[in-house]
Amino acid sequence: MKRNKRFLAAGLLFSTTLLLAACGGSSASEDNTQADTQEVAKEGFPFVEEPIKMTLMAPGTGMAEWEDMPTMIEYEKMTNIDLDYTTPPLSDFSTKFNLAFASGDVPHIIFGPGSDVLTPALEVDYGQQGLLLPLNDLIDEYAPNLKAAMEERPEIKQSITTTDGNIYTLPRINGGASSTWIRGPVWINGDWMDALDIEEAPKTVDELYDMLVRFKTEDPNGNGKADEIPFTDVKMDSTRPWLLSAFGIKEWGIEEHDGVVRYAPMTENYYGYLEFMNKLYSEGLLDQEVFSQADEQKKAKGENNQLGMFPDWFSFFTTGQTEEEAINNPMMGPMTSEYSKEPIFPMSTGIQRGTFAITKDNPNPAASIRWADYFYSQEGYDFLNRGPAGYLWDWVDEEGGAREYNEDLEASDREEYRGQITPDYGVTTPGNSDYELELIGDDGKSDFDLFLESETEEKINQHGEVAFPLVYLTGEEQETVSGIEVDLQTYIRNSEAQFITGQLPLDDENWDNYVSTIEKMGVEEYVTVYQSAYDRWAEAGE
Amino acid sequence: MEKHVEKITNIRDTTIGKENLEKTRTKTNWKDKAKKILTSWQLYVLILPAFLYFLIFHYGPMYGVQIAFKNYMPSLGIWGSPWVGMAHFEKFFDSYYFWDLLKNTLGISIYSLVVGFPIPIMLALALNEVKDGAFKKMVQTITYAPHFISTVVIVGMIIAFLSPSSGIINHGLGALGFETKAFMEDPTWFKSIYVLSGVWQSTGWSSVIYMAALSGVDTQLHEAATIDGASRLQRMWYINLPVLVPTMVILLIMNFGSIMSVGHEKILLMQNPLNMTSSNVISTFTYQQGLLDAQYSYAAAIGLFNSVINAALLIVVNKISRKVSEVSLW
Repeated sequence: MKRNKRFLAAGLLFSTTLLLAACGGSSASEDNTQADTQEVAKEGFPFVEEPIKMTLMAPGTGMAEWEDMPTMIEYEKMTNIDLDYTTPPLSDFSTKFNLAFASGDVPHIIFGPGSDVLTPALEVDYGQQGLLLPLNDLIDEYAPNLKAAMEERPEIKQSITTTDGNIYTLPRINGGASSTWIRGPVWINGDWMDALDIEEAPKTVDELYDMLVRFKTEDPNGNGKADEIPFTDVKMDSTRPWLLSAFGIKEWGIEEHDGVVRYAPMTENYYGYLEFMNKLYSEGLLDQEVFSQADEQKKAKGENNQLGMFPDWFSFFTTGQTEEEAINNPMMGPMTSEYSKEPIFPMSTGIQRGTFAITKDNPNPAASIRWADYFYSQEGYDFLNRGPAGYLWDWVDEEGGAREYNEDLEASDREEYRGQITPDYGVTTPGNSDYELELIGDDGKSDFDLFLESETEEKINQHGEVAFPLVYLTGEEQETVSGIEVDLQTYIRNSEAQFITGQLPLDDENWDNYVSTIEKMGVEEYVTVYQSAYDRWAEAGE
Repeated sequence: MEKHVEKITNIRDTTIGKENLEKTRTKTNWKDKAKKILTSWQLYVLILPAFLYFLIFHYGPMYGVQIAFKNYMPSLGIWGSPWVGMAHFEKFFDSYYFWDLLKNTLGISIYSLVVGFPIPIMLALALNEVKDGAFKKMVQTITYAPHFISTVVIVGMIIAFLSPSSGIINHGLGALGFETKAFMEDPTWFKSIYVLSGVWQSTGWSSVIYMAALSGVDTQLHEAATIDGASRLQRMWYINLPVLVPTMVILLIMNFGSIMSVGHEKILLMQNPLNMTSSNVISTFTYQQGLLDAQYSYAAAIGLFNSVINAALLIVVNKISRKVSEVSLW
């Protein structure tokens, strides 16, 4: 009998441990929510006398654990803020982030999600529910660097202030050559152009067509086989925005022209785009696998020298060439057509939202915002981007400010090494990269950097227009829009592919059907919401 | 022991008034049961982990289903969020893609059932006829293997094999003089690719359970049949197949219980803008709405709708089966 009892006790113990393990998750977070009341220094380091412990959630690139990154270790010593990192991988971050909020187990600081994950709609939603703290007063008092940047560029404040007048997330302010790119540009194979004596990137869609035909028929890669693919993409997502601009469209959805908001995929201009793309596809000028291939297949073709025109952040990512060789590949510029006589090109606002937020249980919001504000100063951004001395670079003369790159690192390995020492690699971190980073050693701008700058200036900045400003919707507006949006996006994505490949012939009947389906989905209401959001935005800037 | 207790109650019955009789009975019965449990407590300890698992991870979370009828806000929690009635269900039924989603979901799962259900049975019957040895082992290993490859890799292979420019299948078609075909871009092919690759993935694995049932067939039956002059095919038909029927029916009933739940993983990976007309299913829609757009209540409502239909089908099919074949889950 005694033995039996002991077994029973063991069984009970076992089951209670199971139960406790199941409940363990929620009880742990409760004991560190108590507020930290110490005074936060308004300038200089450290921010607080006594170290504070906080939790931070950010997307991880998998290059290194954040607690091992020298930048974060050094910054913790400087600031006296000790962070506990949760960094789910980038690909899975959206799911993990939303689950954290849905379960109520929210970390104190959200770092670098970007507006794809912490969307404007979620900002408004979580902000008004009180899950995210309003930052307006904190910025005023504890974020001198950001405040200065906001005074210099008023559109920053206009773009991050939500409908209730509060700011819930801090932006990333971009500078440098690629800051006006809405996404990776389309590049043209320079060697092929040379082989065919084509002087410059096409200026009209007809010139583009002629160039692609020559790419296909005149064997520019010189291997004697007709294996050239004049133009490729993966699901059209990367080239669409650039091509649409040749037909007078700035965005594949909501866009603004002279204060009037419209839904582009139901306009005559869009018909022109579809007609042109269908011509390219049916004549074999557009990759026949454009809608089904994956990135790897596109890259394989690029490395095989089979591609004439393709999108990527830099052309050598696809072709596998060196930076020097890539200078020969020009960027596709703005083009004109019968639908758009003046060249326009979509341009980014240079502001990315949703890069930093403080949540309701944060023990010391003032210290948290100072922690982020440092990255908006020149010194701070340099620190975030390149890490502390002794890793990527070292002092030659600390007084005079002269530095040199770590000699053990090849120049081409520096970027990857950066990924191991700082989180500012592949993550949309808060900060201001509007400053030119100081040169290190005698390593001036590379020829490739200069090439990028001149191409960007000539092709994008001169003709660039922002498609639609960064606006916020009210909760009610959001509700109206979100139902319509998913349907619309699915429908136009599917229809575009059908029209371009000719699965659905682009004739008047099908086009009318297409437009009336979009109308049935409630596009009018959708546009009205964005019109009023635009009007609010415009008013706030006056 | 029990007899002893009964005796005592009998004695008591005579002494205690009739009103108290019933009360005492139930009390004693309960005591009986408690005693029984205590005497065979080892069994209960064995079942405890499984019981707790279902309680904690399957029944516990069910209270969260209420968010399908609420407007869930994380800050207010599940209990505190305001009720909205059937609004989310109405929104789903009114959605432009509702009928497409339903059609595609049912299409894919019925297609999978029709094609995927009999093949493992045939494989098991065939394998059962093969003598134990190297060949049988090899066939089994080859058919199980795809089960252990992750979905992402499987889909990568499918896309690579079916590519019109570099895929092995199209090369084969080309060599035989047929026209190459962009399979992944054609919505009419989507369901077949999904189902047939599913068959490839799961046939070997699903046949295991039938193999197990077949190993229980009494060899005397076969011997007797052979003496009576039954051919191999006849023995398979009259002996092996009937042995499998109860297993088949149970599995069929369970399959009907998940007919609305086509997993989103593989479909999302195989989806592209051109095959969307046949690849847009309820689970991918829920994933899009619920996790990516953070509309938890809406996604919960769609999930609940699925579960209700699944449960209803399960009950109906189970009832039919009990009437027709006398095999049923309960």
